[in-house]
Formats: sequence, C-alpha cells, structure tokens
Amino acid sequence: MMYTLEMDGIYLEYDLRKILTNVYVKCQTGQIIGLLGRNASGKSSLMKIVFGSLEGHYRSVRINGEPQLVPFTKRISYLPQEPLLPSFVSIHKALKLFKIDPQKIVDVFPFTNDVLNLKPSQISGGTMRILEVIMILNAPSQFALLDEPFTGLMPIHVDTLKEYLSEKKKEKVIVITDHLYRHVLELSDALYVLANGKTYITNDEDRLVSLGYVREL
Amino acid sequence: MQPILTFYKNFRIIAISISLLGCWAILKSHSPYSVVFIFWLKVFTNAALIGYTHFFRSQQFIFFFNLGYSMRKLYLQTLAIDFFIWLVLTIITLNLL
Repeated sequence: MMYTLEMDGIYLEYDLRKILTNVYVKCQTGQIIGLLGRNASGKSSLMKIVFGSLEGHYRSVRINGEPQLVPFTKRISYLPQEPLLPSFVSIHKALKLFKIDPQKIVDVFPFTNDVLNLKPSQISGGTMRILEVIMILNAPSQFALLDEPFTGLMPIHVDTLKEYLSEKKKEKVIVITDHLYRHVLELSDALYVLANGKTYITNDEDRLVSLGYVREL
Repeated sequence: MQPILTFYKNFRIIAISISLLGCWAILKSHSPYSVVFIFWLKVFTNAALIGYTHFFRSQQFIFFFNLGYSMRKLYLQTLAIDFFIWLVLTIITLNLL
C-alpha cells in the first residue's frame, strides 16, 4: 500500500523568535527524505511537531490527504536525537512492546545477539543507537522520522544501516535528518533544506553551499 | 496493558510502599476511619510522583508515544492500576481489624 505524508502550515516560535514559518514537505512510500539544516534551524522541532510530541502554533499534517488531528496513533514513529529507551526497560522488553522479533535485528547486526537481554545503561552508545533505529524502522507504522540515526555509529555499521534503510523504504516512508550529510545525500530520494524557518527542496547539492549549510562540497 | 505496567515501573516501589505504609497505619490505629487520611496521603504522593516523572524524566515519554500512548492515557491508566492495588490492600487490611 502506498502512503503519502504531507506537512505544511507549521508555525513555531520561541520567545518571539520564529523557528518554523513556511514549511512544506511531501513524501511517499518508497522514498527516503533527507532533511538538512544548520544547528537550531528547527529540524528536530519539525519532526516533533509532525510526530505530535511538540505543539506548534499551527500544524497541518496529512496522511493520504487526511488531516492527522490526534497524535500517537502508531502511524508515525519517531526516533529522537536523545536516547529512545527509558533506562529501566531492557532491550528484550522493548522489542516485545514494539512486537518485533529479535531475530530481525540479529539478522542485520549479528553482534547484537549478546546484548538483547541487557538494559540500555549496560550497552555502548553506538550499539544502543543501532537497536533504537531498527526498533523504529520495524515498528508497525507507515512513517519513520529519524533524528540523527548515525550518531555514534562506526563506519561499517553506518554502511550496513544505510543498506537496511534502503530496504525498509519499500514498506514505509523514512525522513532522516543527520549532520553526517554525505550519508543523507547518498540515501535521499528527495532532499529538503531548512533555513530561515522555510523548507527548500534541493535538487542541486550546490544549494547546500548557498543556503549556508556547508562551506564547500 | 504491558506498556502501562512498564511505565508504572517508574514509581511502583514508592507507590506500593506508601500503600503498605497506609495498611500498617490502619492496623496500628485499629480505626477504619484512618483510611480517609491514607487516601489523601496517596493522592498527594501520587501527584508528587507524577510531577517528578513529568518534569525530570520526560524524555522517556517519546518511547511510550511510539507505542501509541499519550501522556494523559499513561497517567490515567497508571493511576487507575495504583489505586486498584491500594484499594485491594486496604480492604484486606480492614478485614483484619
């Protein structure tokens, strides 16, 4: 089944400082959408607003054209920049709650077999990040919003995760933001840059320079 | 139900300890009327526990949001479970008087 997610009319300000004013992002199943922007440009806030954990002053999120007025319906899953799992929840328990077969994770990252019964505090940050990303990608949702999924991952795991993301996009829409932008560029079917509160669809990578995101490519 | 029980882990030790403390107070006072005082003690301590979770451990909510639970649903259902446990313990204690 094909799903389309549209976000627009989103307005957010903090202390009279306008963060998001003119946002439009459209994505559909089979696509990975890259979202880039300078620090404090509002990328994480945008994801939180779409997910529902942050209330914008205005918000319009539509799935297949239908406005999503009630948040947390399991249609959209979200990986925050910060750790996802509460410290008191073991990996095994979290997988059970998400109704994910642990074997799915072990198949992609065999080394995780040894840590599935541990608690987050007993696992390295990189391993934890991998588990969280795979958990969100396997959650029974149609859309996955990933805020800095590559943080703390060693290069070989980044490559495996990229292959996995390319595989998962066949079944759900994936929106990624990460400052490891070369990976985002490589993965993305469409790229948006968030600058001055607005989204700019970017086909030309040189635009990243003109929008002040990178000095040179 | 599993996500709610997992969320309850946050404060179950303190919440159940207070319920047991209330049972001990009923037995010690030999008065069923102390239930009123224990009830309000539960109300205030649960409000404090929720306030602490809300303001100091808020990051964990994203996990439960992903499971389809809003903050209101989490709080209401968790409080209902805790109230049920308190009620059962209190009724058992009152029968011992």
